Amino acid sequence: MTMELSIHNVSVARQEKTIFSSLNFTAYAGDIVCVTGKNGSGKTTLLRCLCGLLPYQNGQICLSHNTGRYVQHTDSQWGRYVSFLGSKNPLYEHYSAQENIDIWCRYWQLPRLSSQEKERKLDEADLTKQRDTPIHYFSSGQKRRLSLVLVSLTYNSVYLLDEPDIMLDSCGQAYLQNLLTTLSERHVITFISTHHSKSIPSNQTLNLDEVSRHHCTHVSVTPS
Amino acid sequence: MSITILSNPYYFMRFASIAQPVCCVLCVCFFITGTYIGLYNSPADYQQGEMVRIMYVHVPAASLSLGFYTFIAISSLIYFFWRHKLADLAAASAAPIGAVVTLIALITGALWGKPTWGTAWVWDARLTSTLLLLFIYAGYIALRHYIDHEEKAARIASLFAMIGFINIPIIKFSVEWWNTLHQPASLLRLTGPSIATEMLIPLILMMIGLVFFFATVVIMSMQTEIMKQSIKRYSAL
Amino acid sequence: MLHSFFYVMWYDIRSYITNLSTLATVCLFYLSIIIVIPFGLDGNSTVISQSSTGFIWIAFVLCALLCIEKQFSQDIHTDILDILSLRYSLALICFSKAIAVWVAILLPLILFTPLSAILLHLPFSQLYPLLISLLVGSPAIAFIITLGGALSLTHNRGSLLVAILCLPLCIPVLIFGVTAASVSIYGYDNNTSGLKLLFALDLLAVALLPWASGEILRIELENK
Repeated sequence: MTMELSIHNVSVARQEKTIFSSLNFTAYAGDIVCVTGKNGSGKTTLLRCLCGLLPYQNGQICLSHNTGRYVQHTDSQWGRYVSFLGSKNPLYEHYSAQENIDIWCRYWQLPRLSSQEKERKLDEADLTKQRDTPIHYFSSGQKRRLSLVLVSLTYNSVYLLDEPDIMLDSCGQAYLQNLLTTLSERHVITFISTHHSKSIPSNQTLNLDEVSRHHCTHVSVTPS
Repeated sequence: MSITILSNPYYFMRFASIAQPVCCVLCVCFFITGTYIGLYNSPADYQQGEMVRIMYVHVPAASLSLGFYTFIAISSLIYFFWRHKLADLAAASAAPIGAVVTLIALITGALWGKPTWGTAWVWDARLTSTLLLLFIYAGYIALRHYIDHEEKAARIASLFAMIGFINIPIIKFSVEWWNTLHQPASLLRLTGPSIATEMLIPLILMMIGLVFFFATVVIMSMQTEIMKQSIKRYSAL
Repeated sequence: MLHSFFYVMWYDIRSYITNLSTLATVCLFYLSIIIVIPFGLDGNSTVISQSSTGFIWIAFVLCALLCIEKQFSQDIHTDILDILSLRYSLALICFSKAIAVWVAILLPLILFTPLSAILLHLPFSQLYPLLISLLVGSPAIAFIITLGGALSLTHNRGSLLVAILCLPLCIPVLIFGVTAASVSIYGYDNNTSGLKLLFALDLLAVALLPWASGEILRIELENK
């Protein structure tokens, strides 16, 4: 099964300020793409744009399978192909780890996990002791690990992880690397934005510092 | 040549450079003649005496406060669905003027009401809904200032303006209904017989003058905003 | 589609119930307004009992406005909204949030009303129309405070502005509510027309406000 995500000539501007322009990139099934760049170079913007939360000014993003299935970014179906982990955690503060897993499964229409499966998933991330603790008692590293567990539960074609490694200790890093390898074996495309690209088992790098930032054309009110 | 050509800032600036002075001159003419006729060439009311002359400020302000809000709502609609930036500029420029006109209507109303009805304020349908209109104006302006991100402010404010526009008739209706229930004999029976022609002429003149005043100020403030943005753009280059 | 609606609603209701502080604050505020009113009126019991329906309605609306901030306060610190918006319509999410606040906050407030009715010497015959009018009018208020909640996310300068923005929206509900509750004092026998108008406002709010709040959230997410 081959699948590719192509970003063709994409420009993103926010508040009339060009973040990046004419970005071209192609990722194939099983790729782990490391998105790097300085602070403010647009890593988060790129990931949010890829998952469909942000509009882009021109160009095209599409996902094509060799089976002939072809999804454009503008389709309403796009959201069904991507898993997204933002810089914050998608966790309900008043619920326990197990309950958050249940909530997540319901939102994503995944089959409900038995308590053994939940236990196993939490055990992998070293969260067994915290399984019944409400999230607001968690440390930020533990929250991040739980978010990674949630992401690992979904089955999608594209995974977009925005700085998944912040707050993680060495054990958490190992869990992340493990997760990435599993995702790669599942032949999905993973985009990771990070400042520690060395610890990520990536096979492609997208450095946003090298992407052109010249002025792109967008709606303006300047008389010209 | 349709009106949509004005959505291009270049053509708009060309149009504005002609329209703005024309509106300005017309506004001054209408205001001067209206004021003159209103003060010297129209009769005093047989009941209210000279007091009736407040009407020439009050009635145009009161009726156009709603008209200007309609203008804002329509521009907001155009901006929200078609993303014409100039429509948003128009709405943003119109809001403070509309708010001031509403305030003038309320103040002159109070000044007029004190001697004629014996009270500056009545919880009457018209007064109450005008006061709430002022609230909506204030909310709109405050919302724009509170949100730092320009485009976000514009889009959210335009949505709010549209909601407010739907809300105004509901408020009007509800307050009217409330009034008929609680105060069946209202003080406010403004004009028994229809208004005399001598009074109608200055009233209409003042109203047209106010419309041209509004047009002048809105166009001027849009011009300023466009120039500001081009300065920002050129200094960024 | 629909199951997301039920789950968002259910998890919101559960968080309101597990974390009772919002409900407790709102109920206490409600009672304290009711308790303060007689002091302002010099303890004149005829005046108090004559206008008690109005006071109760005003207290109710003010308390409802107090929950504006709480409406999306969970989601502001997390990425749940972002992730939900990838799959589900934001209008539907807002709709379920409004229902949740209605069930978890406004309904308990209505249950509290007999107590405040006793405190304000409301004649017992008046209690029944008052409760009915609150029950019919409160859904519209729930939608208004959801709109307010969405608006309060757009800036971080407190929710006072939003309460002012929402007040003009609440006034028709207040007017029709009070008339529906108190017409029989004035000897009018058109009690139902007030209720019908309240229903009309409910329907209008259902039709428009979830969409508007959803649009506000979308703008907010796009510019995060």
